[in-house]
Amino acid sequence: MAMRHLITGQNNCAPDGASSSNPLNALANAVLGQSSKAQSIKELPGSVSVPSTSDFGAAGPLSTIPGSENEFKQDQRPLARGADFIRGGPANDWIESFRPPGVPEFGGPEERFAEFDQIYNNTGTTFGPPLDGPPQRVLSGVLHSFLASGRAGVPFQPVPVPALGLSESDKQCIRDRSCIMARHILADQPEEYIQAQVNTLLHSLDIDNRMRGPMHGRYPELEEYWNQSQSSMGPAMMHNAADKWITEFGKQSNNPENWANSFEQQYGPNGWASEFEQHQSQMAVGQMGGANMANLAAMEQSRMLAQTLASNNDPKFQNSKFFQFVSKMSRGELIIEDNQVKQGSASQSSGWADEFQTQYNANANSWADQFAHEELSQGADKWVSEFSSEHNQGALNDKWIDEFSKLNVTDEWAEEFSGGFGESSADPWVDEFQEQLLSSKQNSGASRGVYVFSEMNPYVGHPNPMQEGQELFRKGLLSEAVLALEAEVLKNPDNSEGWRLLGVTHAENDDDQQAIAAMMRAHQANPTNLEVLLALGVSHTNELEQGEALRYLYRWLQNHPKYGGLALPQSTDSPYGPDVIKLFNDAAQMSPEDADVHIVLGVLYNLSREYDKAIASFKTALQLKPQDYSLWNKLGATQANSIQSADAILAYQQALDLKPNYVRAWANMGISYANQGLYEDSIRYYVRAVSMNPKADNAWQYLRISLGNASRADMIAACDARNLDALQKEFPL
Amino acid sequence: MDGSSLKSAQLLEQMRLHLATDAGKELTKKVGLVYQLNIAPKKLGVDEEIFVVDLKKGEVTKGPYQGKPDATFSFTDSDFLGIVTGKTNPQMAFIRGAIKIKGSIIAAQKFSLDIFPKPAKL
Repeated sequence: MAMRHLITGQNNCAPDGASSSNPLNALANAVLGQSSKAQSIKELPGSVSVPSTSDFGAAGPLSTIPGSENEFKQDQRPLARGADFIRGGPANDWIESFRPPGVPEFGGPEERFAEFDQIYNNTGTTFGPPLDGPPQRVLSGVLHSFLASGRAGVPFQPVPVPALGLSESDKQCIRDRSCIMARHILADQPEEYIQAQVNTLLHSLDIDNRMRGPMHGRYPELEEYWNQSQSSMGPAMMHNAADKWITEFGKQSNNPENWANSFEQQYGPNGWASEFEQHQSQMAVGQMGGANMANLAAMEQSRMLAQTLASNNDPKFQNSKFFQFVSKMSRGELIIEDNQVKQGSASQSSGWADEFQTQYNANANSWADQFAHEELSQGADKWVSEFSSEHNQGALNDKWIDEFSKLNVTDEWAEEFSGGFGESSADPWVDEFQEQLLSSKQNSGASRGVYVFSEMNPYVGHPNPMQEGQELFRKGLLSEAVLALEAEVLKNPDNSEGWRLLGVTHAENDDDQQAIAAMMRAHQANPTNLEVLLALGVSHTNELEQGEALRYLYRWLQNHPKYGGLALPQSTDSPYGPDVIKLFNDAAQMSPEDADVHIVLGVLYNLSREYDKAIASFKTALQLKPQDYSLWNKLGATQANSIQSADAILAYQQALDLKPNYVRAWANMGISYANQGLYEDSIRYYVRAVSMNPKADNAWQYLRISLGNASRADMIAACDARNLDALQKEFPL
Repeated sequence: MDGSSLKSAQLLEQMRLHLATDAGKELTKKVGLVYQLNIAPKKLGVDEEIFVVDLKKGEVTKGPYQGKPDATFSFTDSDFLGIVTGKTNPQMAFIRGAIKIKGSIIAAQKFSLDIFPKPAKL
């Protein structure tokens, strides 16, 4: 219960299973696996639950061993229930389960309740209940005082008891369960003390304790398991070992092999499997309400949370990531485990399983199979949480609960939550994973300025790919032109013009990363080519890389035969923006008819975000070069960036009239519509852009955002799968 | 935004202009909360530049908010850019610890970063 106190922040919290109006609270409850217990009991009416070793870390061991009558009482006595629980209801349930099986239930329910009330009243005031009346009551009384003494930590005083007439099997039942219970309740006490306590109790009840030997009755398997772990470590050590195990796992989570080894050293390859199997069977029976239930309950609770959130009518909120996150959790697509959110059936987990399987093919094949099977059906790493949730005192889990518990108390939970994640030991793993995702997505290295060639290129071996590439570029078949020009630069890696045209083509195809990479090669082959320097300046501007852009544009001036003299005598690697602008203004005064100077000025004003001046510069340049479609696009883009979207669309239209296959202008059109909140319209332009160049990653990303904002989540899957046919059919232009 | 060498500065400048348009005013009307963005050039929390996106008044300003913003986001320049342009999944970024949020989570949820206007390309 202590865990839940952390969450509710008070001691007189609602009793177990009570419906809480706070869904987060309920979710926390579910994650802790407390309220799910009543649930699990219901599934087995009539059966008596059995303590197992897995209970050892639980904060309130008593509450995990409810008797069969628990369900009945919960249903029938809603009002008294709270009080019962506060006074240690589960313990009473346990006692009730000692009612000798042979004795029938006396009278109707009412009668029984009256009697119980009496027992409760008695235990509330005194250690010594009246020891007369029917055997059941006497037995209850004795056991109550036994419990009380255990809690108080005083030796149990033997009480004279009238003959109870217990049968041999009753005695055995009491003896077995007392032993087990005592170990649970007195887990922190030395073994001898426990023995003494139990012996006193059994002696009081006139039960022979020598018959402990090999366990019999209904739970031989569990008892055997208990004894095994008992003999090897004793309860306290078991505890420590488990904690240690969890910590160890936390530390080594990026090294599963190590962990597995150390586990094997402790338990042998089969020990783990058998433990797992045992947990499995228990879960199947549903008695312990372990992690399986906790997970299901977490799902259930997050579903409730999702419903609560769904009742918020704000569409923005409905689309929000958090809401989606909770919804996913409620559908079991995401599972929270060890401070991490995991995809329910994600490939990473099965990848892990695969890896593990190959490593342990030799000795743990069946286990891996089972694990893999388990993963498929239930989700990732479930057993980890199963183990750790049964050892609630494990450090990782505690921390997580701590973080989570603050949710309820203060609104600043997000900070705590993310803080917890940040410090989590598995954090680097997520980072790594993210990076891998990113790099595989970005064709690895494109961002580093390394040109990435297409894999299948029909133009390799073409007699004159340069000419072919120029021809294709002129026709506006940009993606084909890219292939031809790639063939050319593969053949002649020092062909500056080949690289330059390749870069231009990529820029028009709306791929600045590749454009920069190609232009760098062109620049290498010919460091003074002005067109290359301008193109690099523009592409870096598009990537918002101010310093780089400024450097190349300044070099344009330095290398210009006419304006080179204007450049400052001392060479500088990081020129100051306003200085460069001033120099170009001087150049523009020198020769106002040079469109290129105005173009560079326009780009420079974009860098300094003086959009009005940039627009003026581009307009001046357009008067000199009205047929330059890329210039129209530059004007449009500048207008768009200063949020004059209507003007921008006109300028883009001019560019597209001059060059219908200008992917960049199509994508920019989409951006303009999206920036005006016209997401439906923007989608059509984005789809056009990506159908012309399926490699235009930016356009794909923007398309996805627009689909989301236009409430067309139904097409996001098609977008993610890059299914052009479906998108073109749905959004014709 | 002037004088900032952050890539994000352009987006914020665009946002500032955007808030004066009809679409921007609608956003202001719909959200009506104040957000502070702490954007670090490289490492979270180091050399942060602070911007305020005031969706109450409809303005973007540099420097910390005078008073208590409804929510404060912290991220690096490139993560912010990545999220706005759809390169980075904000959920993963959050879990990874690349985004930190202070203040009301409800308020934070009302501010999805993909409503930022996108930069057009020259």
